Amino acid sequence: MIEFKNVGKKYSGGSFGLEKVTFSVVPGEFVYLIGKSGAGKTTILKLLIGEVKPSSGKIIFKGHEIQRFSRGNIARLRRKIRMVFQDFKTLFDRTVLENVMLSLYILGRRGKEAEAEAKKALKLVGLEDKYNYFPVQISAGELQRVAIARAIAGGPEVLLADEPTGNLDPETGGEIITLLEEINRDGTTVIVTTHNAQLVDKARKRVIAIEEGKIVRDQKEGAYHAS
Amino acid sequence: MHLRTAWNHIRRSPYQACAAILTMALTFFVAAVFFLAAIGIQTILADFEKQPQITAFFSDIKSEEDIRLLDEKLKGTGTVEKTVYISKEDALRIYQEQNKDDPLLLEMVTADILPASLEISATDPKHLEGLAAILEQEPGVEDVIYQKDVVDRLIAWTQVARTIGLVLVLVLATVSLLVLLTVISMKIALKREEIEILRLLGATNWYIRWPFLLEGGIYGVIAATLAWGASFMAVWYSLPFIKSFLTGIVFTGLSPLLILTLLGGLVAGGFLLGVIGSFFALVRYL
Ligand SMILES: Nc1ncnc2c1ncn2[C@@H]1O[C@H](COP(=O)(O)OP(=O)(O)O)[C@@H](O)[C@H]1O
Ligand SMILES: [Mg+2]
Repeated sequence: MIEFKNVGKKYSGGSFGLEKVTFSVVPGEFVYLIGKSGAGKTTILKLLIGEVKPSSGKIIFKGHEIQRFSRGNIARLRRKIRMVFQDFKTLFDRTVLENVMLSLYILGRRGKEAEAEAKKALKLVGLEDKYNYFPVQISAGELQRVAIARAIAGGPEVLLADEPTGNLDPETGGEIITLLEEINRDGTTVIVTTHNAQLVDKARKRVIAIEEGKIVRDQKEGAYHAS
Repeated sequence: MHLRTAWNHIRRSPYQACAAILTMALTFFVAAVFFLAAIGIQTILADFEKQPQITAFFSDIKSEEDIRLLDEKLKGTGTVEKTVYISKEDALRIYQEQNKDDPLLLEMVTADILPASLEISATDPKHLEGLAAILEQEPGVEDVIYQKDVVDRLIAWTQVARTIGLVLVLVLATVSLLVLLTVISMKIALKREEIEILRLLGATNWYIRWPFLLEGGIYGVIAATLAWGASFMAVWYSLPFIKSFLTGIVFTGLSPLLILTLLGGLVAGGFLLGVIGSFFALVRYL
């Protein structure tokens, strides 16, 4: 479903970005991308939604080379591969419900239908009593859930989550991971970046470790540290 | 959908919306007034052209028999299409008809003080001078009036008014386009973050553009409607004044059809101007 073939990315500043990254993900998989800050995890996710173009190599989604996509095709791609951003990117002048509806409107849902689907997504992340709250009125963990609800509303094929536990206490982080695993069980392919060793070790999922822009380990049912 | 988004944009910044709408409304108002004036002048011109091209007024020493002889003499030149004799009584009747709403004016005038006249239409305007020469040599002819002079002067004035109107409307249209551009650009700047998020969620460029284009269009339509109303108010209030100024001309200009045509034209023009203004802003900043 997703394939990286010798993908390189050089940022204009001269920092390394990525080098010869090769891996593939099959439908329904759950993948942890791990590595220190600055290793290149976010860059991999951004390449997948076409926000960043690779300097070399191919990125393939369902047989199509993403790096060659037109703007219109990238827009369509982003409706299938939805990302939960590290900084959430919620709109602070909209309610929780309205924030989730944003992504449904883009999918072409209207009025009542959009509202019903948004509520369904919010229920799934456990925010059914916060529809009309504004982002400043809820906690960081709840904001993370709003961002997840917005990404899964309308049913994407792939969910990318960039450090979803980064800003959270361990317990709340664990709940978020549980939620992502539930979403994965319902059939969505999930890729999560993290540097939280404890959660990765507990999950026993596939682990792709990155160091200085290179893949150093790709292990099924792996742990945070190489065994 | 996009319309709702556009409406929300407008609601959230009423002052900018007002600035855009008012400058556009001023533009359309001026355009509408000049348009209506042009139509009015057209009516007047048409009216003049139907009238005889030369009129001779006689003093009281001229008998009807004298005038009949003169009439024959004129027709003898072969350059006259037709003549109409208006006696003092006819003149009074016409005067009474024109001023039937004004009893004071009616009381003041009797057939005695109105001159008899002969209205002469030439077969071709170029014969007018020859006819006028004959009339001016004739004893008992008090005054000779060329309609052509009046029409020519009117046409010259129309030309000037049209040029002024066109320049004014162009300048105002440019100003309102700039104001609209500024307003929409500001909104785009304010919505940078939202636009960025929408893009990341898979919105196409057009999905993002439509609300802005419609916003401009809505400004244009509201402005056009306001200008339309205002221009008719202006005409309505100045019509009695204009009528007293130009007696004897029947205004058929303000038909419902014209009113609706003007509304349609203004609304379409307003929508187009608004959309174009927004489009420039989008091209520049998005
Ligand atoms: N827009 C950018 N311009 C220049 N360098 C960048 C940019 N984004 C990321 N980088 C660099 O690329 C490397 C990988 O960054 P990133 O993918 O964000 O790492 P991670 O998410 O693993 O912390 C870092 O060295 C970072 O400084
Ligand atoms: Mg990162």
